[in-house]
Amino acid sequence: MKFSRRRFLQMLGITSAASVMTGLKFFSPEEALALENRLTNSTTTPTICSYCSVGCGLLVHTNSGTIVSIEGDPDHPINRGALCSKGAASFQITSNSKRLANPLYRAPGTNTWVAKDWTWTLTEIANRVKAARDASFIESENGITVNRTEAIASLGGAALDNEEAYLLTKFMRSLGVTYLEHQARL
Amino acid sequence: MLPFLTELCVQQAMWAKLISEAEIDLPNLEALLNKARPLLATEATLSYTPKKYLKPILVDTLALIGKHQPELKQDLDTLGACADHLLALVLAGDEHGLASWNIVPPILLGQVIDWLLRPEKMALGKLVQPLVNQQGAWETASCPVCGEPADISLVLAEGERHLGCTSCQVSWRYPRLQCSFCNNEDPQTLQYLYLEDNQAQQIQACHQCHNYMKTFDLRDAKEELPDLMQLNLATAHLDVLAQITGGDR
Repeated sequence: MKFSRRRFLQMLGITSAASVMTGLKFFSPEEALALENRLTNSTTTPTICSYCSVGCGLLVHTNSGTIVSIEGDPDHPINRGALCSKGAASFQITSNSKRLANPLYRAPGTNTWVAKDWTWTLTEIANRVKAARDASFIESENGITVNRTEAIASLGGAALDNEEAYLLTKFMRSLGVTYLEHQARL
Repeated sequence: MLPFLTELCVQQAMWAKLISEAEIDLPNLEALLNKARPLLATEATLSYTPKKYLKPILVDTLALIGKHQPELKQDLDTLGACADHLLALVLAGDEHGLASWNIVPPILLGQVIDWLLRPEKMALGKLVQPLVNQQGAWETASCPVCGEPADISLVLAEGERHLGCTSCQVSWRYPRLQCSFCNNEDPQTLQYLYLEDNQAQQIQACHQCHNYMKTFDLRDAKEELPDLMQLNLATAHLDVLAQITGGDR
């Protein structure tokens, strides 16, 4: 059987099977009865890749709530089982120890990253957005009411769904942001 | 039992190859399948292949059984002596005649007939295989050759699932997350059972209809598709486990 690069990338977490007939363990029915407590089970849930807006199908295999492997969904009309390198590495979202666990903050003029908690981080972001907006807010220009700020830009991405994009637009417009951009502008 | 099975399947594969190399008189195959009817649906007898092979297949099969189970010699010799009558009944599709013909235990007679007819079905399966590999080509859970329900499931290259018929050595594309018995597609009620160190051999259990289907992940197999009947019978321990944990078949 051909061994493709795509297949290699999908092998994260999947145990490989030895050649079928030589690797087959043959148990008699009596022996089989004793194996009942060695039986584990898994559930396979179809879902959509979390990255871009192509929306490729994934199959997520779980065992008692723990993800054991992820592969492309061969029956999904969009990707028919194929995954790009990012999607194929989806399993690493759950398993890679290099994933950041906390927000990191580097204060101006320093060269070290400090771990912060989310409460501090979100409050700090809110304060700075407000400060930047207040400092740059233009109420009117040439006699026309404009109510805008040009000091803040919003950049959306393909991973945003319609509902998130709608809320983001509403939020940004209410702040007066005009630089409202999105990666996928179609 | 495994040595006997191995020899039997090798023998049947050889006969299937011979049959498929002979002239198989088939009407338009694609048109037949397009009507979603299995090849052998309307035929009580097997009319697509020459019948001259049946007698030597029968002789071979009886000899092989005798080699591994010499205690059955008497019954096997009886069948051998009545070969022509047996074949006449089979070709006429005379189920009543066969059922009331009590010269050997029915279970032996039934098994011999099953194995006798397998090479021809395998030859037809080989013809049909290229037509049913695509998603949507053959959308039922029954065999495109014999019409029986699929009795095995495979995961092949690129993660594609195929249902298979062990009798006809044919497989066809089918959705991964679907019960072949009740069409249940709810992933929460489909469970995959396996022995810890053998994840490639799974039991797909449906909690809606309580049927199960053995599934073999052959993506990393380094050989051709194994004989499905051999694969099925050699993993009978999975059937035991499935049934004691609540599965029906």
